Amino acid sequence: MSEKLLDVKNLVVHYETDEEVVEAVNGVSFSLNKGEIMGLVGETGAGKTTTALAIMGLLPDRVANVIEGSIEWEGEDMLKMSKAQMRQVRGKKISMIFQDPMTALNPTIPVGEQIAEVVMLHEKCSRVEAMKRAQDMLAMVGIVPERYKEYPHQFSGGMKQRIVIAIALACEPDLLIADEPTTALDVTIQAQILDMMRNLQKQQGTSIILITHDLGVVAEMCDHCAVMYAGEIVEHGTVEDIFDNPKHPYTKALYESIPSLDKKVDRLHVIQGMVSDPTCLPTYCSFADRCEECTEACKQGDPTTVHLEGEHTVKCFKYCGKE
Amino acid sequence: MAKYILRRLVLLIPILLGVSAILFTLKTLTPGDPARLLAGNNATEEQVNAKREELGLNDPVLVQYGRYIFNFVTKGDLGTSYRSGKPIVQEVLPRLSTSIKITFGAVIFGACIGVLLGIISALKKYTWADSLVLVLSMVFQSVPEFVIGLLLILLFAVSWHILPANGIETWKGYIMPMMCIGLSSIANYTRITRSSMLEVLSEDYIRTARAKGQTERNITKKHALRNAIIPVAQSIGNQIGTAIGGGMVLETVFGVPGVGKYIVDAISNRNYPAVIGGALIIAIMLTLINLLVDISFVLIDPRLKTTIISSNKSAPKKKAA
Repeated sequence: MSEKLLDVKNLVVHYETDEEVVEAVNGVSFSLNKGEIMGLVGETGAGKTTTALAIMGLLPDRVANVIEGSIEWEGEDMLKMSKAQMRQVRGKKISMIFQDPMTALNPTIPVGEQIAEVVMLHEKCSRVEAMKRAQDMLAMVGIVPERYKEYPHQFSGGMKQRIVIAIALACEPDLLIADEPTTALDVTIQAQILDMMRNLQKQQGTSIILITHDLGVVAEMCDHCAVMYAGEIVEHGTVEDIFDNPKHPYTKALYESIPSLDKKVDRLHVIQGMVSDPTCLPTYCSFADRCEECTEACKQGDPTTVHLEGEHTVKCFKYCGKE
Repeated sequence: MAKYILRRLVLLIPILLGVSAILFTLKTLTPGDPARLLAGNNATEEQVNAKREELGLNDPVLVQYGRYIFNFVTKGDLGTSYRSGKPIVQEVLPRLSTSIKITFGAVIFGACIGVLLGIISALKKYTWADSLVLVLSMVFQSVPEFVIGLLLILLFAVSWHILPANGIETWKGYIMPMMCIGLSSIANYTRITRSSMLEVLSEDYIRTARAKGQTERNITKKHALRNAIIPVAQSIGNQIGTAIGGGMVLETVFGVPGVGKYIVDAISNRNYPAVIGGALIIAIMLTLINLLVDISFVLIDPRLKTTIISSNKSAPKKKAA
């Protein structure tokens, strides 16, 4: 297919405090081609956001450590880049939309200036040109450019998120990481925001990593999908693979938990137990304790990632030896 | 906005009534007879009584209070000094400008250094620089102002001869009182700046700024500082009050002819009109300064503008909706 943009290999990120070590991301690998939209799904605490922050180089100082792995951007390892180099990447090549639009904008700076800021940082242009570009961006996300000088508190939540998107797209990045861009918004606005992201992706050919815990959003938007559990990608494939032919017991259990419109059920299916405590993950398969298809082997060791047909991969003992 | 200012000015009335009532009560409860002091030690009982009658001290307290308020409201008259016989307003106003200069100088001095130290310790949190700033500011806060004042005099005036020990004949005379009042407020500004800076730096919009590829320097300058300064500005209003209180004592230490020294002198002379008048003028000034500080917030924090304006226009807004 087309050229490889981002290649994450065996990424391990730990949060270390005096009391404990939180194993947030444990050996995540995936790659993304130009123009693709990848979904990253999983429940809260699965390590989705940490993976995204690691790619952006925005993990909190001192606390978070990338233990091993590499994140290659067009063949160059971003983990080995200097701070100045990373600043050139952030905002220009990779942008990020954060989860909560209510707090993502600076309350004391007019929204237009917040868009112009990123333009001035990366495009060598004058203040006037940057302002013009910012107004164009506002118009593109459906906000009248006359509101350039208004402050974030004068906008609604959905509009704020559109401004955040305008900031992220102002320099036409190659990759957009959207961390639960619609979680904080109501359903009507969600649809608008997703539509807008998809249109922009078509116009500018941007690749997108869409982090969400909403499988419906993934089905609607993505080409690929990776399912994360306890800091690992347990299943990865095209959206058709994942939705029509889920392999991993966790993915299957997720589908069974979705309420159906045409079947009447008294109780929805529940995945028993809790997500393993990330401060002391089991040495064996981290889903084994909750898995309905758990066998003896599952509690003996950690399964390796198995390649099924095409791009479909799954990390489960059930499929070991069936390659 | 105009309505907001007007409402705040109307609030001055109960404040002044309260302050004057408290001062009048204290005056009545304080032992000592100003009439006897004024008439002199050799005066006969009749002379003292006549003096008392002249000053209106024989009337019931409430009548005295009512007369005082009436004169103030109708003529802007705060009484006359027992000692000099001049109107209090005339005596206090020229001294007020001296006190205001020192207070403002002290607040600006303290705030600048305090904010700077606060930023340093927030950016270098948990390092030796952070601890040093903490210790330094605690020292200045714990040592009483008059002790610092005496130490400054010892250092700058007695040992180094670079600043005058007493009086404000030249601009140099202002430096030590300003420094002295300012130093004690540094700890307050440092602490507030540090904690609000740390809070702001962990906000999401700082992460947004980093995600734009902005440099750390600009993030501190453009994004963090303006938000972190809001609680600092709020505390400046309170600090002005403290600075004036500290000034009362320090004006005596440094021999500065300000309102503080005037009131302290008046207290020892039982010159009640001067005490009450001086205190009332300070109360008016403090209220006005606080109003100015509050209005200046709007310039820093755009969110307040909407709150202030919408609180006035809430009624018509509902109609529009």
